[in-house]
Amino acid sequence: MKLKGRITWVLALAAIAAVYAWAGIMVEFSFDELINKTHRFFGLLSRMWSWEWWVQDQLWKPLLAQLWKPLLDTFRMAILGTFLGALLSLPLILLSTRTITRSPWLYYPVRFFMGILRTIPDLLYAVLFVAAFGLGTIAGVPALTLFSAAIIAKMTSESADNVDRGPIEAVEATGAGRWPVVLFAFIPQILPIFVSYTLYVFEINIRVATVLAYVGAGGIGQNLITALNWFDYPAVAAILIVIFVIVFGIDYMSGRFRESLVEGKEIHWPWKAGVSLVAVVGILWAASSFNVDPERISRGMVYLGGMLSRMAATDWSELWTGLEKMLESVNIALIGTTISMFLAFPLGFLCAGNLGFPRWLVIILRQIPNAIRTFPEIILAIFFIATYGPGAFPGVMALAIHSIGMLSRLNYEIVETMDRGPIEALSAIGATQTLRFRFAVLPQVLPEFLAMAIYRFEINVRAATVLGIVGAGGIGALILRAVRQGYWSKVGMYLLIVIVVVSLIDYVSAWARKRIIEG
Amino acid sequence: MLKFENLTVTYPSGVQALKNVNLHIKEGEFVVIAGVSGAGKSTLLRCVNRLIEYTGAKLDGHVWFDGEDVVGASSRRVREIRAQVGMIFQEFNLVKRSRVLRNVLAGRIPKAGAWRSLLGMFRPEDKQISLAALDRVGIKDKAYQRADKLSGGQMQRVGIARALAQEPRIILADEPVASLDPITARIVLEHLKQINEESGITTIVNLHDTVLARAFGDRIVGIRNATIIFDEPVEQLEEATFEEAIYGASLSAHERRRPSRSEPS
Repeated sequence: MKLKGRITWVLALAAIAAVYAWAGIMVEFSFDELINKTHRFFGLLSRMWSWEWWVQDQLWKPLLAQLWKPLLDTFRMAILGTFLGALLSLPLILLSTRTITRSPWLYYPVRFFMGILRTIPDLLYAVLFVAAFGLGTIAGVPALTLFSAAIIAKMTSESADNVDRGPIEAVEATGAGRWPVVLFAFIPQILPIFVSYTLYVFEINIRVATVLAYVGAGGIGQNLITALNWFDYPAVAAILIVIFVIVFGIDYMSGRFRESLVEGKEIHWPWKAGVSLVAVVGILWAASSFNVDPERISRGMVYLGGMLSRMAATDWSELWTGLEKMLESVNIALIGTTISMFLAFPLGFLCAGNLGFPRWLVIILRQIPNAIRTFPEIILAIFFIATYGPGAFPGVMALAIHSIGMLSRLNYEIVETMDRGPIEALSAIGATQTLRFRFAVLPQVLPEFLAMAIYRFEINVRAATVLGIVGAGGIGALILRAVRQGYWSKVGMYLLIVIVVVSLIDYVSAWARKRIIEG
Repeated sequence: MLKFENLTVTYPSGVQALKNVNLHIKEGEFVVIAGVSGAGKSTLLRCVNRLIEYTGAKLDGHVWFDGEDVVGASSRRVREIRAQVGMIFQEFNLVKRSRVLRNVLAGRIPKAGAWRSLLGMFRPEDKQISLAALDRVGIKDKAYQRADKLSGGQMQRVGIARALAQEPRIILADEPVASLDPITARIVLEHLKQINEESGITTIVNLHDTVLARAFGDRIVGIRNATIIFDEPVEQLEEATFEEAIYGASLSAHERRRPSRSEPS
C-alpha cells in the first residue's frame, strides 16, 4: 500500500511536470529573455524622467488640464456600469437564491445563465458593444454593466444561500406572503454583503475603465495610447501616476468601508450618510452628464440584434484555430499564476501582522502588493511587450506581476486568521521558531495558499482571453480581428469556446479547491 | 521534583495572576488544581514551561524543576526543559489539516533533532514511539486520518499522545476536558490517570469542575483570587467546604437556603 502511494505520487508529479513543460513551450517561456531583456523594462522607466519635461517646461501642467475630460469619462463609465450592474443583479439574486425562489426549475436556469454571463471578461463585452454602438463611452457602459451584474449576482447569491433562516421563518410564521419575507427578512440580511460586493466591483471597474480605450470605448486610456504612440514617456508616466493615485485612493477608501461592512462593525451615521451622499451625487452626476443620442442607441440595439443572430450561426471550421489559441490563453494564465504564487509566498508572511515582524515594516511591505495591483494587466502587458516583444511571454509576465498584488493580500489574511493553538503547542514542546513555522504555520496555511492560487488562476484565464487585444497572446487577438472584419460566425465560435473552456476550468478548479481545503 | 517558591506573576496590565504561591509537587503525583476560570490555574501551569512569557508577564520568585530554577533559565535552557514537559491544552491545539501521526510526531522534535525534524525525516523509532503513544490512548487506527475528521474526545487523545511522544518527566494538562461532553471528559481523564499510574509520570491537571476534580484528583490544590486556599489529599476534603472555597460564599448561601424551604414548618 505504501509502495502504491509512492507510485501515485511519482506519477502525479510527472504529470504536473509534463503539463508545465508543454505550457511553458506553448507560451514561449524563456529564462534567456527574462535575463537578457528585463533591463529594457527599466530602460523604459528611466526614459520617463526628463528634467526639461517635468521641471523646466513643466509640460505636465497642460497635460493634466487635458486629462480632466477623459478622466471624468472614465469615472462616468465606472459609476454607471457599477450602478446599472447592481440594479440588474437584484432580480438575478432573488431568482437564483434557494431560500426565496423555491422552484429548482427557476433557480438552476438563472444560475446557469449567470454562470455564462460571468465567463466573458469585461473587455470582450466592450469589443462587442463597440462594434454595435460605435466608438466612445457609449459602448463602455453596457460592457461594464453586464460584467458587474454577473459578478455581483454570483457572489451575493452564494452568500445569500447561507443567510440565517431564522428571521425568514419568523416572518413566514406571521402568515406574510413572499414580498414581506423578501423585504423584512432577506434584504436586511444580505444588504451589507451586497453593498460590499458592489463597492468591490466598482474598484475593478475603475481599473477596467482606464483601459477600455484599447478596444475603442474611450476614457483616460486614450491619452495613454496617444502618449505611447508618440514615445512621449514622461507623459506616459504622468498619466500612469494619475491612474495610480485614483485607483489606489478608491481601493483604500472602499476597502476600509467594505471591511467594516463585512465584519458587521457599527458604522456611525456621519460615515454612512457621507458615503451614501457621495454615491448618490456620483450616480446622479454620471447619469445626467451621460449624453447619448437616443437614435444612436436604437440603431445600436438593432445592429446588436443582427450581430447576435449571425454569431449564433457558429462557424465550426474555426474550432481548432480557436481552441488552439484558447489553450494558449489557459497556458498563459497557468504559468503566470504559478510565478505569482511563488512570489506571493514570502510576501504572505512578511505582510502578516501576527508573526512578530515590526509593525512599521509590515505596513510598508503591505504597500508593495497594494501598489502592484493598482495597474490593470493590460497596462502591464503593454510595457512587457515593449520589453520582450509581442507574443505570449509578455502576457505571462503581465499576469504574474499583477497577480502578486491580490495573492499576497489574500495570503497574509490567511496567515493572520490561522489558528494560534498549534504554535503554542509547538512552543510547549520546546521547538525553535523555525520548527514552529515548519510544523505549526506551514501545514495550516499552505493548502489555503494553494486554493487561493487556483482561484486566481480562474480569474487569470479570463484575463488571458483579452490580453491578445494588445498583442500579448491568446484568443483575444483572434476575436478582435474577426470582430473588426465582421466575421460574426467566427466570433460566435470563439465566444462559444471561451464560454465552454472557462466554465469547465471554473468547475474543475472549484472542485479542486474544495478538495484541498476540506481534505 | 517541582517546587514553586514565593511565586508572584504580574501581567503587563498590572493584574497579579498569582500572589506569593508556594507549592511542592513530588515525583509521580497526580495533582488536580481546582478553581474558577481566571483564578490563576493556567498561569501557574504556564510558569513551569515558561509559556507565560508570551503574554509579557513578569515573574518574581522561583520555580524549581529538578533543582533548577526555571524563572532565571536562558531561552536555550527553557527549550530543553520544555522538551521534558508535556502539555495538554483545552482547545487541543492540533494542526487540524495534518494527519494524526504528523501531529504526534511533533512531540518527537526535541529528540529527533532540528535538522531531521525540519526535513520531516523522522527516524523509524520516532514513528514507533508515536504509534505506541496513539495505541496507549486507544486511537492507533486513526493514525493516518486528518485531525479535523476526529471527534473532540479523539482530538484530545491525540493531544495526550503528542505529549507522551515527548517521553516527558511531567505532564501539564490545562483544562483538558472543558471543551468536551461529560462522558468523553471522563474517558480522557481516565487515560491521564492510567498513564500516571502505569508510567509514574508526574501529572498536574487544571479543572474548574469540582465534581471531576474530586473524582480524579489524589491531591487537590484549590486556587482562588491568585492564591492557594487549600492543598489537601482528596479524602480529607469535605464537599461543602470545597465548593464554598472554590466558588465563593454566594453559591453556598443559595444552596443552603434551598433545604430550609423544603423543610416542613
